[in-house]
Amino acid sequence: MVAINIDRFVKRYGSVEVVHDISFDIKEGEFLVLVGPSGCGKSTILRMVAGLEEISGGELRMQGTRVNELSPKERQVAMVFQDYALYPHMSVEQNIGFSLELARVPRTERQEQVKRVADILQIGHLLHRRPRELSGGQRQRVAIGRAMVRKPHLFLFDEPLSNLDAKLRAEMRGQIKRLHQSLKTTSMYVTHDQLEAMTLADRIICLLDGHIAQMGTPHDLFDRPANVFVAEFIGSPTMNIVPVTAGAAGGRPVLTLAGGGQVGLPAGMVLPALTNGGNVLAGIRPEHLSDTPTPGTTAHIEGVIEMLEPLGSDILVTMQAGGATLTARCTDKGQFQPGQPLTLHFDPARLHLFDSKTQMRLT
Amino acid sequence: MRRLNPAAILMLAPTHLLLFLVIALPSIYVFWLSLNESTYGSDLTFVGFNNYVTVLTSPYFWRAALNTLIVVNAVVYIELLIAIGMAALFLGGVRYPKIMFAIVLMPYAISEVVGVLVWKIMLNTGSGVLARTIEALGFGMFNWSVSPPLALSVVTLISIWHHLPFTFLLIYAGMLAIPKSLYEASRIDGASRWQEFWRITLPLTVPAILISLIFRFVFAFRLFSEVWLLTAGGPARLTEVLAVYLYQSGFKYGEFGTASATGWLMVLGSLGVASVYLWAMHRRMVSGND
Repeated sequence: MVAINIDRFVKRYGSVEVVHDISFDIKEGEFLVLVGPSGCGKSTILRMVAGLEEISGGELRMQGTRVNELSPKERQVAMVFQDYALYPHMSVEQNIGFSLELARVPRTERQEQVKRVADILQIGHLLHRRPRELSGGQRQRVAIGRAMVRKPHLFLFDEPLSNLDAKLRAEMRGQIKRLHQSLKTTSMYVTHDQLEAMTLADRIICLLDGHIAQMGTPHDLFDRPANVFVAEFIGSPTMNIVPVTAGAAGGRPVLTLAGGGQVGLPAGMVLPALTNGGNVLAGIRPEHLSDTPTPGTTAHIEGVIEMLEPLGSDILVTMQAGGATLTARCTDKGQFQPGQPLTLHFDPARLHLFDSKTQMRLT
Repeated sequence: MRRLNPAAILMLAPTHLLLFLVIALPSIYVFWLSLNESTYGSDLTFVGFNNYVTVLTSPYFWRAALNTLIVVNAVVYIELLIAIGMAALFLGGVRYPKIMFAIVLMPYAISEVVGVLVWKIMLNTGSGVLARTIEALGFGMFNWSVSPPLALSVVTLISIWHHLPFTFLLIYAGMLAIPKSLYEASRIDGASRWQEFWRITLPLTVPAILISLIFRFVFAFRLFSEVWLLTAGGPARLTEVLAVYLYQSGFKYGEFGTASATGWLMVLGSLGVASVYLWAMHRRMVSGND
C-alpha cells in the first residue's frame, strides 16, 4: 500500500528552481533514502514533505489525501534534525514529552509514554539531564525519542548522523535499522553518505541537481547504475570509469584504451548497439577486479602497480594500464610491490558500459 | 591555578593603569572626600561618617531615593516589556525591516539633552503640540510641571523613549541567536506561534534579558538630565532623584562631603540591585540552565 505520493514536486526560490518535477511514492512501512551530493535538493524535498518548506508546484498526498496546505503537526510527521534541535532549556524528559504536552496528554500518561520510548532507546537514566550534559550519541537518541513518542505516520530524518564520529555513526546506523525493523514506521531518510543509504534503505533515490538520477533497491543501484553519476556515487572505493573504444578483432569484441592497450572480451559476448564511433565509458568496480583468475573471470587487463593502500585484510591496488588508472580491491598477502607488472582478471558480465556523450547506461 | 607570565603582565599593565587612574583613584578620592567636610576654598576637615549620617537623616535624600526607586523600576520594566514585544515582532518579520530598524534606533542617536528639550517644548503647557493635543482630547490642562507624579511620569516616558533602542538591540540579538531548527522542531511538535514564543523564544532569551536588566538598572540609577532639564527637581524638591540631590548638595550648596557620601551610597544601591540579577545569572550558568 502506498503511504506517501510525491507528485511532480517543484521548489522555487524566487526565479531559481531547485527541485524539478520530481515524482515518487513511499510504500507503507518502507525505508526510503534520498541520497546525493550537497545541493542536490534532497533536504529540500524532505522539508517540503515535513511542511517546513512551501511546495511551489505539485502535490503531496498522504494515504491518498492532499496535504499541501496542512501544517507540520497536522501531517502527523516526526522529524530528526541534523543538529538534533533539542530544546536546551528543557530536560530530556521534557524534550521527549513536549509534543504530548502541547497535545494536552495528561501528565501520568505522558510520563509513561516518555519512559516507554526512553527504555527502548536506553536513555531512561538520562531523563532529568539537560541536552548540554549529554554526549553526541545520547543527544541523537533523545532526538529520535522525541520523534518516536508521537507515533507518527512518517519518520523524517535529515542527515541525522553527520555530526557524529565514524564509530558512533556506525553504531547509531545499526540502532536506526533495528528500530525500523521493530516499529515498521514509514521512513524517509536524507543523507549524502552512500554507505548509510546502502545499509539502511529498502529503496534509494539518488538525486543530482534537483533531478532523480536513479531510483531503486540498493542492489539495483549498485549492480545496474543507470548513469555514470550513480555508478561513481554508489560504492566505495568508487567505480573505475575508463574511456574506451569498443570494436572487434578476430571475431571477438575488444575494448581499446586511450593509450592503445587492449582488453579482449569472450567471443560470445554481445556489446550493445554503439554510436559515436564506438567511443564509450567502461566501468568496473574495484571489488570485481582480482589478481588471481577464477572460472568466471574470462577477461583480463595488464598494467603496472602504481600505489598500494592496505586496509587490513584487503588492499587497494592502483594500477596504470595503457593510459588508464584502475583501482582493484584484492586480498592482501603481501604479494604486491609498486612498479611490478600486474594482470587483473574480471568477469565480463561485471562490466558496465555508458554512452560517453549522454553518460547513460548502454545495456 | 595558572600563573601569568611577566610578558602578559607587562602587556596588561597599560589597561590596568588606565582603569586605576580613571576609576579606582577618583573613587578612593571621593570616598576620602565623603569622610571630610569641605566647600569651595576651604580645607578638608575630617568628620568620620558624619556626612553619611547627615545624608541618611535628610528627608530630601529619602524623597529622592524613593523617586529614583519608583522611576528606575518603572523605566526598566516597562522598557523591557516593550523591547521584548518589539523584538518578537521583528523576529516574526516586519515590512521594510531596514527602514523600521533605523526608525527604532533613532532615539538612541539623538543627544539626551536635545531629546529632553524637544519633549519639553512639545509638552509645554498651553503651547506644546502634545500638551495641546491632550487638552483637545478633553483631558483638561496638561500641567505636569506642578504635579510631581505627572512630572515623574513624563521623566519615565522620556527615559524609556531614549533608552528603548539599547534594550531592544540586546534582546533582539538574544532572540536572533536562537537556532532556527528549534522553531522547526517545535512546529513539528505542534506548537502554535504563541506557544512557540512562550516555550521557546522567551526562556531562551532570559540570559539576554538578565544582561539588559543589569545594564539598564545601573544606567537608570544615574538618571539626571531628564529630571534636571524638565523640573530641576521642583516643585519644592519633590521630583528630585538621587543624582539631582547629589548635584544640588555638591554644586548648589557647595557641600562636597555630603555630595560624595551620596555618590558612594548610589554606587552601593546600584550594585545591590545589579547583584540580584548577577546572582540569578551566575546560578543559571552553574546549573547549566541556559
